[in-house]
Amino acid sequence: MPAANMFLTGDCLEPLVKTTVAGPYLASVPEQPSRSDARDGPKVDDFRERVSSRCFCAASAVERVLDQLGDAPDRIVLSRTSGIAFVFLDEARYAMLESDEEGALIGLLCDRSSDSEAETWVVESTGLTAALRKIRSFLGSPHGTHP
Amino acid sequence: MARTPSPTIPQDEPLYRRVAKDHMDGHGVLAAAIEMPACSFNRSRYSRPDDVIVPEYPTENGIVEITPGELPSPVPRTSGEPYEFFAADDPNDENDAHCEVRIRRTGIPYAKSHKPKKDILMKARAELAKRMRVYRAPT
Repeated sequence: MPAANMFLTGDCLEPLVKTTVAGPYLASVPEQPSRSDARDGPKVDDFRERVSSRCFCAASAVERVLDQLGDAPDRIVLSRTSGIAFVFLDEARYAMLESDEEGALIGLLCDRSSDSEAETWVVESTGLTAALRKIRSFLGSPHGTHP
Repeated sequence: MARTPSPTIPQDEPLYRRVAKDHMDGHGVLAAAIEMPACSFNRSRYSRPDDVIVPEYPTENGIVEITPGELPSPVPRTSGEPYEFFAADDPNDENDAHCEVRIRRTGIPYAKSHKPKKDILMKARAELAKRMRVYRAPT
């Protein structure tokens, strides 16, 4: 079953099913990634008054799935496009999952050490866990888990 | 009254933009710092770099720069309809130095009403961010 199935209802994104998300993925990451900067930094709720309700709901869904996965971004920031961006950093590489004003989620994988074009995609309602898995595959496990 | 826009901006003229610390890391500017399909800058011909810093946005106290000659090649490069970057002079009553880096479908005039796909917009933001240079780091 796809993990983290989501469904748009009105202005808000709600979980369709409760799930023990992505078993194989969970096996590869620790329960408590050492990304203290994100844990201590802004949370999605801090931006509630500064973004659209659709943006907030979609970002909240991302935050929930990250919690379920035991994962965390390096930063959660308000982007210049009035969206909420989850930023994952790994030296010259970074990834971003941004909730825009309309509540759409857009993924980004970027390697600044090469001329290769950034990969971007619109995350479908059932594709959130897959998107996070793709980001982790691109960047590697959260900091502190490398051998 | 705003000055008349120039038809072109010289390829070597620096364009400045403010940036927040949260929108950068040790390797440069993040796509979160960029808007598309049009991203505001100040022309160096009509302003000083510090003019992009305004009290309304106290956290955006860094300055990044790019010249028209450094703009990325069209995106996407692999498949799909390509969009090209270009710098457009866009002075207004509040900011005589205002200009924008925009994207347009290659060979088709820019139209504000045209909305590129969201994944294309994000790709353009990432590619522009990648080419920005830090003039003064944010604190």
